[in-house]
Amino acid sequence: MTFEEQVKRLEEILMIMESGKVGLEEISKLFSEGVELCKNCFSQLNDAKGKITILREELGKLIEKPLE
Amino acid sequence: MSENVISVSQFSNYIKQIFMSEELLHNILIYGEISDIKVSRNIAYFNIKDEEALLVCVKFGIGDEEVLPKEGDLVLVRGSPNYYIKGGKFSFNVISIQPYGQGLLYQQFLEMKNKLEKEGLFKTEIKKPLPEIIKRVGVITSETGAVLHDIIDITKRRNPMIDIVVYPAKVQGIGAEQTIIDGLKALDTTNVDVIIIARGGGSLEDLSCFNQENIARAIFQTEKPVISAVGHETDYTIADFVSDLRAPTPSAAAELISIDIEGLKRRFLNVISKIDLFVQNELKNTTETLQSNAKQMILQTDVLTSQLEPNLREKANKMYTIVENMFINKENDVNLLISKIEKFNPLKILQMGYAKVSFKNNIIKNCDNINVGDNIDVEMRDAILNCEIKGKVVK
Repeated sequence: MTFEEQVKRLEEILMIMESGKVGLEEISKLFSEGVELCKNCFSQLNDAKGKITILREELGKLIEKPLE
Repeated sequence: MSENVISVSQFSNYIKQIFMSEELLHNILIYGEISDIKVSRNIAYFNIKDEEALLVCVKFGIGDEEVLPKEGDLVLVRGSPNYYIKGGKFSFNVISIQPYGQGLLYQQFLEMKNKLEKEGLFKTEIKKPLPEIIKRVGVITSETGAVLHDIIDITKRRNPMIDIVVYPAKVQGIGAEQTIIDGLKALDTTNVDVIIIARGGGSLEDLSCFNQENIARAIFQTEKPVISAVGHETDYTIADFVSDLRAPTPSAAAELISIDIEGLKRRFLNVISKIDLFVQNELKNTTETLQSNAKQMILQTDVLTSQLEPNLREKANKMYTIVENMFINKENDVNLLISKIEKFNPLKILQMGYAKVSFKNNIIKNCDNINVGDNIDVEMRDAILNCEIKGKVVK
């Protein structure tokens, strides 16, 4: 999941919790899921850096290399 | 002295004859800028000029709906010279007139636009929406130049997680169209989420490759969404019309595809703090319920023991202490949970603090169907306890 997708899921979790329609057990499950998402989000924020590459055709094949 | 004397008519006819007989002057193409154009009785009168000369022109048979150039337009006229004997005037008889230079390019642009529009290539209902989440973006542009740097800088500043795949292309001059078409085809086979075609501003001539039919058709056939980001905000090309989205400038395209990560971070922090608060409140409520249950139980036990025989009272007191300790321990457990959750390590705590109670594989949420003698399962973090119900007091 991307960072954005995970934030969306966290917002969904909050909405379900606050709806008052779920019991303590369900809240606990949602919370566990939320904590996992948080961990992922933090690690993505810390070390995810998108790559910049250059795509060229070489000998009839597409080759992707890091942009100098 | 026997000089030839001729009449005005003879002289004028002679002049006219010279113009008529000079083939090089007929059906000739001349370019110049329009001035003083007016139409009277289906005849257009105008001049074309350049910096040093002016040519008086006449065009006969102007139709009612014919669109004529306007003052200052650069035009190319085809026609032949004529000397009008009765008025003693020289003029250029124009057969056809068309825009020239920038004007011609613009004319071609309009014709191409009309043609493709009629075919339905610009219809809004067939335009592909941009994916909600963009992780990887393809950029077709010149490998050198400010445009690529702008796109990379802006995208990375807003969202450093996005991958950028650059397809280096010529963006003007001979061969430009083919490299752009190749780029569209190549990137369409990769896993990019969207393709941007970008170049900086320029004259209509510089941007002309983006007005070509083959580029328009290649964009139309690309399966991934295409954003055109060609020239300045005021420049419109055919590529803009056929693309799924037009960005006014390359920088704007970078903003379109990269959601602002700072905004997302704020959303993230906001939602986790709310979830944290919610769960803390839930735990606090649970503790309060436990405390009030304990107090009630102790009160009831006091009343009961006071009515018992002394030897029984002693036993009851022991029971009382055990029960009381149980509740104190439980309360301590919950307080521990709260202190741990504040340290933001709630997953393990929840697992430790609560037990899942089930009866015949169904989770028990109330005790309506649970009776003395039933066997229930109490699932803790490390084991499942099979328990028998010894008593039941309905609250």
